[in-house]
Amino acid sequence: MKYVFDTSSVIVLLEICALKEQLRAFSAKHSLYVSSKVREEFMDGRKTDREALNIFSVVQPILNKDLLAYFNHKTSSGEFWTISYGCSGGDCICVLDDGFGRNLCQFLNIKYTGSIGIINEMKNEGFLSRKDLLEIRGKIRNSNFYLSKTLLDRLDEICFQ
Amino acid sequence: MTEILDYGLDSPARGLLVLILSIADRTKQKAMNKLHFQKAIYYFENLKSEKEVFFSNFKYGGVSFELMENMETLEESGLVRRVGTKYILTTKGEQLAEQLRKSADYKSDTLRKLEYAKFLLNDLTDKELLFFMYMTFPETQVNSIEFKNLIEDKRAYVEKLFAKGRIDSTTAGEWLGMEPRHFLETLSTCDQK
Repeated sequence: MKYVFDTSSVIVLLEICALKEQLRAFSAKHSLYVSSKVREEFMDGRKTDREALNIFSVVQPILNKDLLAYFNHKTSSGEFWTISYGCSGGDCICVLDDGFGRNLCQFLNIKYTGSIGIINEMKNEGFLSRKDLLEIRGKIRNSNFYLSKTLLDRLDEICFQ
Repeated sequence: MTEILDYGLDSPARGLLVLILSIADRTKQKAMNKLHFQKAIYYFENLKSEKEVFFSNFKYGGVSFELMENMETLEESGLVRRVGTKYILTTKGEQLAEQLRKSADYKSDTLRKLEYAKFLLNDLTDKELLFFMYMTFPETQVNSIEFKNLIEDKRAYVEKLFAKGRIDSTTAGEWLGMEPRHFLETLSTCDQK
């Protein structure tokens, strides 16, 4: 599979869940991308592990003019870059946690998942143990980083099913 | 086609009103109040980057008297009826909306953008909607009587709009004068965990 990640999902997976090594293993089976804009946003973080981002291939998407209107004609949003790449053909799935981007993908019939969906994939493919999942759940719930209640409930399902 | 012309639905303002009332929002509601149809059509015109309806900046931001007059005409013509403060299409109105959808005047991309405007805005409260519109289109703040009240609770409105998926973290950060990442890290989550 091919996945293009938005900034918040990279933060959740790399920084909050500390899944660098597991993601590296996952990347041997799947193509993981971030846009240059998302890379820039991620690098702004104070605690950023810059080397970890090497797991992802950095791409420069052709910015989709039709999509731009949905972002109030501004190119400043990392999500705009992520979704532009996701809908440029090539069968790539957008990885987004923000409700706005997820709603927009749903509305425009663009394939998407989120960081919790990726955790589920990693679990299904044997990259995460039950112990890992419980640790991940604790880290996400103890962090200050926002994830919607729906996504947190989905995480519980994944951990306890 | 004759009926579309008979009812004057070839005029953009009137045609758009009939079409937008025929669309179900994310809560499956078709009814719209005055504020919501005005703002949804304003947003739609910005989305398609083509102005066909005239708006002026008034007490509640961008408002179109052209839309209001046409809504009254549609009501008098029996295509729309009012239930409380909300407007809904009559059976005849629904039939004509269906004809309009099939007409060459409305391309699928145009209809999709109109659907999105309603999908994005119709279930917001009046205050959330006004805040969203004032912030998205700052030029509409000029003669506002509400903006100064709403801005006092800026943080709360931004959080609500973000949590409802109506703005992204970049927009939320811009409106609050902080980096998107900082916004996500400071967003109150105690009610969720």
